Amino acid sequence: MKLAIAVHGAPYSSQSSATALRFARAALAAGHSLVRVFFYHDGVHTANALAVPPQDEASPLPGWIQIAEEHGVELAVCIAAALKRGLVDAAERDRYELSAASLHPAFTLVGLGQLVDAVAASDRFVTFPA
Amino acid sequence: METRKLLFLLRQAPYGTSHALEALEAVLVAGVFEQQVAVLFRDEGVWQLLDGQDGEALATRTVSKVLQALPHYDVDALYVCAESLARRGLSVDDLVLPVQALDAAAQNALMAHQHAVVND
Amino acid sequence: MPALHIVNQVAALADCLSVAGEDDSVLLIESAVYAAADPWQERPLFALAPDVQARGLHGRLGTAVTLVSDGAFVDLVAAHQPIVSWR
Repeated sequence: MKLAIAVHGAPYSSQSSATALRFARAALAAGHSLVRVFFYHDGVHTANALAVPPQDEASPLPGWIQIAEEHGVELAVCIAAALKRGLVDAAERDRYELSAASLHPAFTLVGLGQLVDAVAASDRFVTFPA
Repeated sequence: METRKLLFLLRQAPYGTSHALEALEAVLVAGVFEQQVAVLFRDEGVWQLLDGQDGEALATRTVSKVLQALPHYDVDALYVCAESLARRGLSVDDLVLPVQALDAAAQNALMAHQHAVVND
Repeated sequence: MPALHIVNQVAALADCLSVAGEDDSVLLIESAVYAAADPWQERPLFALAPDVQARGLHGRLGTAVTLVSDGAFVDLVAAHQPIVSWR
């Protein structure tokens, strides 16, 4: 079955990203495919490569990177939600003349059309709210 | 892109967080991509529809004005939870758009026919 | 096909149950699993096991509650449509 996931909560502020990651791993282990993971609202903070988590609080970021690398899962970040929260890739850093790119390269900035496409292209769409 | 029946379930009050505005952006985009979009306002989300809003007082967009753009994006299946309105002393006459009030059974039936539900 | 309602805060459960049909399933995740310890809860509910375990609720679940693993969560999603989240 084709699944799509939306993540709405920021790591540490909410369990959203961590719960979604466990669900994604379980879905892949069961033989389902993930059409796309769409990070929206505060969920875009998941992709922050500049965060420094304490050792005893697991970050969901390495887990997301791992399933992207091992299963080719697309990690899509809403560009409008990301830019206003300071999550920029190298291209946006250059465009707005910012001091750093904060978006981890395993993630891609996309428009909201990719959310609609993920919903339309999947058999099931699951939102992990804030 | 395949055409699907999508229900947006909007339950968050406007202004206190960005959830209402950001979710409405997704509704508009779903309209642009010619999905069969329905929107159900429930619980605190019914406040998004209240007439008389002025986002300028908070240097932000007026949520009810964004809502009034929905019919221009071919999003005209607009529903509101009747009980959510009644509990807040509201009637459909207090709202900025013509919306159909649904009881709980009708909301359940609405959900049952969807390919997917998108939450705010 | 019946819907799966996913609830992640106790306060959202009443709103969810006001709409959920008898054939629909309700899954408590994250902070909402505290509602699984409500002894007066009669409606059958699923609760996500890692969230129950982390919060020390294992011995306090109501009789109408069924624990599910992450894998069983995936199975619930596959067996229902649409999936509706409540926070």
